[in-house]
Amino acid sequence: MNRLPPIICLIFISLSSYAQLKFEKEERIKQEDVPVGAVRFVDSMQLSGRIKWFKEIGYNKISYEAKTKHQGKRLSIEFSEEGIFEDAEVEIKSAEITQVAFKKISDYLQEAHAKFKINKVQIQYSGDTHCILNYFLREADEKSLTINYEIVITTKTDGAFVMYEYLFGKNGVLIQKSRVTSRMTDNLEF
Amino acid sequence: MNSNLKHSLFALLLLAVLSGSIRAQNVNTYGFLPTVNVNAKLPKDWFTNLKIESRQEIYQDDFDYSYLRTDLLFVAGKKLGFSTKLAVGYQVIFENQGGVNHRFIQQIHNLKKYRTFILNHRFQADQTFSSNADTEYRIRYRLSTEIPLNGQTLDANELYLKVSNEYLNAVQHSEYDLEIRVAAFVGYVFSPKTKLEIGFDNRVDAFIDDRLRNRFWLGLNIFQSL
Repeated sequence: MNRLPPIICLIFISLSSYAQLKFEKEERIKQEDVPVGAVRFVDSMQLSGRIKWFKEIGYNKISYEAKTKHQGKRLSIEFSEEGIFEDAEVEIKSAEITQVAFKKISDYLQEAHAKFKINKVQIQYSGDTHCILNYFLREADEKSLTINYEIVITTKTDGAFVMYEYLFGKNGVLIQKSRVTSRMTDNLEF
Repeated sequence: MNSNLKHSLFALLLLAVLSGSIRAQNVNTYGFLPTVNVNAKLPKDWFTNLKIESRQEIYQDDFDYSYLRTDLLFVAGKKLGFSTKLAVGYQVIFENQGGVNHRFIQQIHNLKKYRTFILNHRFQADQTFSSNADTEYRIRYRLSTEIPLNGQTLDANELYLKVSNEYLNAVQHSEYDLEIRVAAFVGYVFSPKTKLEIGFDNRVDAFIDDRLRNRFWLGLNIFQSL
């Protein structure tokens, strides 16, 4: 082994570390690989845009996601491994959050972070599947749905730039906060 | 400008650069260019990168293997914003004939993540000192993109495509030269910390006075984060 040049040793160290880690990944899949229930649900939403299907493999969960554009906005619909509807998310602008909720969210974020930038806002619809369908078919308003706001921000914590994903309730109450891990980009930088 | 038009323009530009170089070329060389990069993230957004690169030529007018040089590059830098990094580096170049060159590097780059790809702009200045030649000053710009080949984000155990185009303006002994690089690599993510790439790196230079030089490298890159 001590005859191996340092460069070869580095290659072995690099590749062997791969087996010791667990990952989260998302992959594009064909519609025929999606649980029937999920496909039926999306079909019944009568969406005009092209549907792209993805499989998300998490640390302890598998889910399916349909992504498309609906009324000019990005829409993603998430299903469990069994094809049961979980939620639908529509990308919106901050100004589209209700005034009361946005004030509460802004107050919270300003208190938690000296400086921050909102990168992405999504309105998340969940609840009874019939109500969801009726809402997307414009046969019902959103009163019967459970509404949350998912907000991604960048800020500085302990001298380092970080990204957080927040989930706030309809009235701007914090439900969940998680740190977004940044992906390796060394191969573009050096 | 729609995306189809953008793709067509890019393809045309690429074709023009490559076909121009093939028609007018005077010197063609082919070789291997393996690199190993080890990157470490430090507290408060500081980072370091160590790169080892080796050049081996296998063809110039005829098949003939010759080892050319090995480069050792150390870079240290800091994030200036969520997507902007500033770095300085020192590179030592060990030539085949025993010469050693020293290069100092300053770079700033901006990386933007889009829904389905990443785009990186890199501006770099470097100064190369050699005992048997005048100091060479270069200003360079590189645009590179990484596109996942499965899904919208690049995850472990997935393939990706990396394409880059770089323009290097060099001044040495009051003489100006331009080098254009076009590279395309297919990469594989072994883990969130390990990537492997294989592809080609075409470098055309000596546009101004000398015979056009067209170097075609087969590259193998390993990137490891600690």
